[in-house]
Amino acid sequence: MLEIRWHGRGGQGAITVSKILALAALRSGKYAQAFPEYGPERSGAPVRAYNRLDDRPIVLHSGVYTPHRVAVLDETLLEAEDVCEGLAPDGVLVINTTRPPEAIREQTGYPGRIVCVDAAAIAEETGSRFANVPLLGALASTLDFIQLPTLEGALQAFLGKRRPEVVKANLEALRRGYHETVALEAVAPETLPPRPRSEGSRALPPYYALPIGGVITPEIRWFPKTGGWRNERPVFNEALCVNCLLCWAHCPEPAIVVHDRLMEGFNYDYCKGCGICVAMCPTGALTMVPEGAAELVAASVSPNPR
Amino acid sequence: MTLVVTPRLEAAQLLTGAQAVAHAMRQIEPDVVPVYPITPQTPIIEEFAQMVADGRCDTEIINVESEHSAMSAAVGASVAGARVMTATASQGLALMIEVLYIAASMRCPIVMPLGNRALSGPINIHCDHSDAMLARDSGAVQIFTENGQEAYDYTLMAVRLAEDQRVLLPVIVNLDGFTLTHSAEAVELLPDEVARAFVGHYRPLYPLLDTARPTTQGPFDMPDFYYEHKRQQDEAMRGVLEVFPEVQRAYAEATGRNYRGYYEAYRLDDADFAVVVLGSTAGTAKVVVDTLRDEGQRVGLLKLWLFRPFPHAAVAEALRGKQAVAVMDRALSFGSWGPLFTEIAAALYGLPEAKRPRLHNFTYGLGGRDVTPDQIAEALTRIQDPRTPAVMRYLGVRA
Ligand code: SF4
Ligand code: SF4
Repeated sequence: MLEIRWHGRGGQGAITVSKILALAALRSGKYAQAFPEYGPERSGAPVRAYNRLDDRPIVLHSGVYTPHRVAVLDETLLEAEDVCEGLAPDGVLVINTTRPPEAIREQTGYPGRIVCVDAAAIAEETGSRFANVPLLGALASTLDFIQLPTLEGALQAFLGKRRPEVVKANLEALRRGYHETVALEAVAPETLPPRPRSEGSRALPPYYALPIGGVITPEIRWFPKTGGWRNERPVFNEALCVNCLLCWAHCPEPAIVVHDRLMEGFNYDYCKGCGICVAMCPTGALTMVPEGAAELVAASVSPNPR
Repeated sequence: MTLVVTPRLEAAQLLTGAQAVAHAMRQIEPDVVPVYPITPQTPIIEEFAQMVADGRCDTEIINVESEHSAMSAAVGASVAGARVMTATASQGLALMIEVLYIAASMRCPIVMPLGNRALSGPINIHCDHSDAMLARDSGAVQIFTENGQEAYDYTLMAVRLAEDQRVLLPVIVNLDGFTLTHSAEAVELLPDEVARAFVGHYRPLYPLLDTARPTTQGPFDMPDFYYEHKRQQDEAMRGVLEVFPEVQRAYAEATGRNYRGYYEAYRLDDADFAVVVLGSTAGTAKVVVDTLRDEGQRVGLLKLWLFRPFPHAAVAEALRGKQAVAVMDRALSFGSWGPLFTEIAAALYGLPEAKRPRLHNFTYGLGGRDVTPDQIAEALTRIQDPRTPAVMRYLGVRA
């Protein structure tokens, strides 16, 4: 049995490609499962999807903990999650990135085979829009039992009656993803520098240590951190702020830091990037920038003038 | 015929069960009572609202547009830090159920008298326990009472029980619709200051309005936390088995009214045959037990006060070694045994076979069908014949 884990963000199509892959596997004579790990509907939050592929009927319905392949749709997830968790050294890490596989190895410390594909650029150039289809191509290229034409057929089945140019763009993106990968072969794990084990979101407290009733108190704010949901962040231009505190009052998370009635900025551990504060700010002191952009961008025109 | 607490004639008043409960509410003086009228609960809140209007107690009554809203407002007020009560019955409880689960999971110590009534349809306003059984797995503590006196006393005790830091769960005090809510009997109230001193002040654990210690309440749980919170809730519920007798003891000390244990055992110790009931039927059953005893039959009664959590071990001990037990269910679990029967069966299964009584299940009194002494006598007589097959029987329905 071969197990696969897909990492994406809500809205990037990880679940869809897991289903396309399962269909292609079925048509290639394998039993297949595709299943998501859904949270609340929240665009931008980390989501996972899984596949199981086997020659025999698959009866297992538990989670996937030791995948043979991991596919990462969004490079920023390397910060938010331990994407290599449970991935055996003889597996493959497939990632949508502009960087070379050496850089990914350095960042993740994964000693196994690493396959990089610039899926975002392929999606852009072909007009397929989403990185998921080229990444699917790249992942499928690591599976010897699925041929490209079968995969194309499965993709077409999913696209259904979309406009011909959409179908064409996606098929093109799939093919390019399949062929345009850059791979780095596995090395012996001992040859890599030792890495500190990440604390991991899985180190959770026992039931009796939780405040009752699901209450979240100031002391336990550390555990349900929502900062990892973000792919855009609000930034603050102090010069334009009139300290009306509308942003503070409307932020759904404890993410706006206020002292002595003065707005001081953000606690990014909890800012989930919803943009409500930006929408509320009457002076344009807040603006959203893509995650990873320089912090000093600030709007001079309010999106919400009064 | 005995009562656990006998109202003294010189001190008793003629009160309906609804009035008795309303007086308990007045003495408790909850901060907030969101409420929607539904038969046969209506007179409880009518009486109470009159007392509030007359300035006899300082409570914010919220008139809402449905029971779903009543419980929602109750949860909101409770997490804000208020002492909250409401009351309901039948369809009203059915409409509340969604939010009652939330009240329990958010650990809101809301005390709620429930005027037991059948569930629709056909529409029926009369007594049975279908509504209480609907709330069986909601996470609310459930107490059943036999008469107006018990309904009054247990409403006061319910506040202490609900607000105990080891519990913090909603508590439902069941009183049979009409049979108790609308029937006037002698009830002895406590002096106001005694009742008030007993319930004391409520100190909420995480008041939402405490801006010095802000909290998030009612959040979302993923699979990695939900189960832990449910386990906490279950342990709190099981903890009631410890707290309930403590509250009874405290009540006895404060008032001299001696309720003891999870159930009342009436002429049970030396009985060979027993009947198990909830609510007002227990009174009728006592009369039957006395009559059959006069005829030389060794019969007894187990009347449960506490239904959730269910005191399995104590019940097993009480029924250990009896020859046969008749479990009386005033509700159906369609296609299964009655809800009380399944609990009793679960309780007795752990006994050694020689000590395990034969068990029989009788459904009775649905939709207010009168519960006569004859029916209970029939149940207690039938189970004495070891050849009586173990199937669920309907008492008092046309064959
Ligand atoms: S984007 Fe603004 S409103 Fe939304 S969580 Fe972040 S700080 Fe709060
Ligand atoms: S809403 Fe804008 S102006 Fe008001 S406190 Fe927040 S950042 Fe400052």
